[in-house]
Amino acid sequence: MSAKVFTQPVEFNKDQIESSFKKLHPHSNFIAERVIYYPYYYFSYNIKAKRLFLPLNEKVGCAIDSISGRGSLIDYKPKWKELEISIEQQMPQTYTLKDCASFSESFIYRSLSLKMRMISFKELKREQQQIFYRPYWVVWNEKDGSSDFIVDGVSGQYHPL
Amino acid sequence: MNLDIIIFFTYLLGMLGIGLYFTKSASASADHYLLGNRKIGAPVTAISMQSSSMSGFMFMGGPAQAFQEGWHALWYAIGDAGGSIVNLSVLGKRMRRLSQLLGALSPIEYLEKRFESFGIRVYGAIIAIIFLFAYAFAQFIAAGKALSAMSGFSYEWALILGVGVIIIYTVAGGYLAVAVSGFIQGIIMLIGVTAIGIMVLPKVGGLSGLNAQLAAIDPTYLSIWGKDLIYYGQWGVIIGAVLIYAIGYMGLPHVTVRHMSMQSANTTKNAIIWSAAFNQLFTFTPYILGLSAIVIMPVVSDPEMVIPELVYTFFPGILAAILLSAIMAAIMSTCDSLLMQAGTTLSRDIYHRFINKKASHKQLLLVSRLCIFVGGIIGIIVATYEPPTVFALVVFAFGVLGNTFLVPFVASVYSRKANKIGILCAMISGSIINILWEILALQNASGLHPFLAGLIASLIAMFIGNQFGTPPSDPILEAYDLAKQNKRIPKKLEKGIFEDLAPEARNISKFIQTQEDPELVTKRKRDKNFEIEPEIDLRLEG
Repeated sequence: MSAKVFTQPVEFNKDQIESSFKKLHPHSNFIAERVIYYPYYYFSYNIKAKRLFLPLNEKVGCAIDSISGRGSLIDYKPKWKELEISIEQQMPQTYTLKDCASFSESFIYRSLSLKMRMISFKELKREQQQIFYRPYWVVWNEKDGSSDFIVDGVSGQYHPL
Repeated sequence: MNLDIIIFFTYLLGMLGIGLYFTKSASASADHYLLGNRKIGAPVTAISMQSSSMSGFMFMGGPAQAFQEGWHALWYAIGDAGGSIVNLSVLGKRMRRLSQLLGALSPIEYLEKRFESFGIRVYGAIIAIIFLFAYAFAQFIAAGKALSAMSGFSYEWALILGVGVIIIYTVAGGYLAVAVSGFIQGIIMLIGVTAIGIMVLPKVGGLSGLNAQLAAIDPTYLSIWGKDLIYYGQWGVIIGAVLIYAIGYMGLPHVTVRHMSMQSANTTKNAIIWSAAFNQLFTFTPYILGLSAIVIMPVVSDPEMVIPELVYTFFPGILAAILLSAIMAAIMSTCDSLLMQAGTTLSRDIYHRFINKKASHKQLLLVSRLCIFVGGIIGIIVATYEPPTVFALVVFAFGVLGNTFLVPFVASVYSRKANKIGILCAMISGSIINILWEILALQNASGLHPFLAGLIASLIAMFIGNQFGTPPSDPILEAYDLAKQNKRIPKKLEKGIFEDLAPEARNISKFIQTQEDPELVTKRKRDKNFEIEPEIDLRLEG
C-alpha cells in the first residue's frame, strides 16, 4: 500500500552514503539499507515587529517535528515533490496540525525575541503550512555491537540509532 | 566632551552601521541572525565568538589580581584556559544529546525534565537570575571604570552612561551580534592585546627579566601561595582557584536553538574548537600584563585600571581610545548575553510558570525586557553605593552558579542513580555553602576556597539525598541510556555526529522496532547480502 505525499528529494544515494561511511571507517561495512520518511510540518510566518532603527517585516519559516513536537529553524524554504511512498516507509504522526501550529508559534516567538531583540511584536501571521516528509537513510553496520545510523537524506548529517 | 569619548561613540556607531548594513543586505530572511554564522568559516566564527566571550574580568579583574597577588593569580588563568575544553569534552556531547531527547529548551528546563522535579526548576531559576545579574553587575562596574578613564567623567556618571549604553545595546543587540561586527571587534582586540604584550614585555626584560624584577621588589610575588605567602600551604584554595574556571563553566546556564539544514549541511562545529584555541592565546596575556604593571607602574590608584593605564602609556591617544572602545564593546556584549539570559529565565521559568500561566508571547517579551531594565537600575545602585571589585564579584557569581549547577549537570549524564531529592540537595547545599563561605570569610580559617567547599558540600548532599528520593522513571532512564551511547562508534564517525538529530534517531529506532521482527535485525547483521532497496525513483534523485 502506498500514498502520495510531499517529500524532499533524496540528495544522497545509497552508494554515496556507503562510500562516505567507508572513507570514515574503512574496516567496517556499512549498508544503506532503506529510506524512511519522517513527518514534519512546515510553517511560514510574516512577522511585523518593532525594534530600534530597523523595523522588521519579513518572512520566517520553521519546521515542527510532528512526532516529537520539536521546532527547528530552517535556512531555506524546503523544496518538495509529490511522490508515491509506501506506507511501510512513512512514519505516522503523533501531533496534529493544530498542535504543531501552536508549537511553531511559541517556537518562533521565543527564537526571535531571544536572538533578534524585538521590542514588541505587532503581527505574527501564519502564511503557509504544509506537511512534508523528510527522507532518512537507515544505515546498518554489519559488525555486532557497533552502532547503526540514520543519515539525513537531504543534508547528509548523521546520528547513531 | 573629550576626544576619547567621541571616538568611543563613533566606534559604537560604526559597529552599529556595519550591523545594519549586513542586516539589510541579508533581509530576505531572518536567518542571518538566527543561523547566519553557519555560512561563514570556522575561524571567522570563532573570532566572533571569542570577542563576545571576553569580559570585564579578563581586562580588569584578572590583571588586578595579578597586580596584587603576583603569580598566584595565574592559577585562575590555568583553569580558565582549560575550562572550555573540559566543558566540551566532559559534558558537551552527552548533555546536548540528552537535552534534545528530553525536548528541553533551557538548561533549567533540562534539569527539571531530567530529574522530574518542579522544585529543581524553581530553585535553579531563582539562583540563575540572581547570580547572572551579579555577574552582569561586575560588567557594569568594569564598564563604568573604563568609561571613566576614557571620558574623564566621575565614576558615577560614567557608570550611568555605561549601563545606559549596555541596556540599549542589549535591546538593539541583534545588529551588533552579527558575525561581521563581532569578527572586526575580535580582530581589533586580538591585535590590541598582542600589541600591548609585545610593547610591555621588552620593557620589563621579557619573562625572565620580569621575574627578576618582581623578586627584587618582593620575592613572594613569585610564590604559588600568593604575595606575603598569604595562602601558604592552603591547597584547598589553590585547587578551588583552578577548578572554578576549569569546571565552573559547566555550571553556567546557556540556551540553544535547534536548526535544520534545508540543503547539504555546513556546520560550524569546528568553530568551538577554534574558539577554545584562541582562548589559550588570550587567557594568560592580561595576567602577565598585570604582573608587568607591578614593575612599570607600581603606584596605581585602582589596580583594576592597570590595562587602561598601560594602553594609554604605550599607545598614541586615538589608537588607545579605539582599543579601549573595543574592550568596552566586548564588555557590553558579554553583559548583553547575561542580561538576556536572566530576562528569559525570569519570563519563562518564573513568570510564565508560576505567576501568569496564560501569559501571551507579547507579555513574556515585555516581562523579559522589564527585567533587563530593572536589573540595570539595581546594577547602577549597587555599583554606585557599594561597588565590590570586578574580580570579587565575578568569582562570587561564577562560583555560586557553578556550585548550584555543576553537580546536577554532570550527574544528569553520568549518574543513573541520581534522583530529584539528591539533585535538589546538591543545588541547595552547593550554593548556600559557597555564599556562607564568602560572607563569613571562611576561606582563611578553613584553607578551602569557597568554590571547593561548595563543590564538596554539593557532592556529599547529592549522595545523601539520593538515598531518599524515588528512582527516575523508565522513559528518563531510557533517554539517559541513549544519550550515553554504549555502542562502539569509531572516533572519526563520532566526530561528525549531528546531535540535533537525536529525537529523530530515537523515533526512527522505535518505528523500526515496531515494524520488524527482532530476528530479522539479527539476521541482517549476519547476512552481508541482505538489503531492502528503496524505491527506485527516489534513489535516482540523488
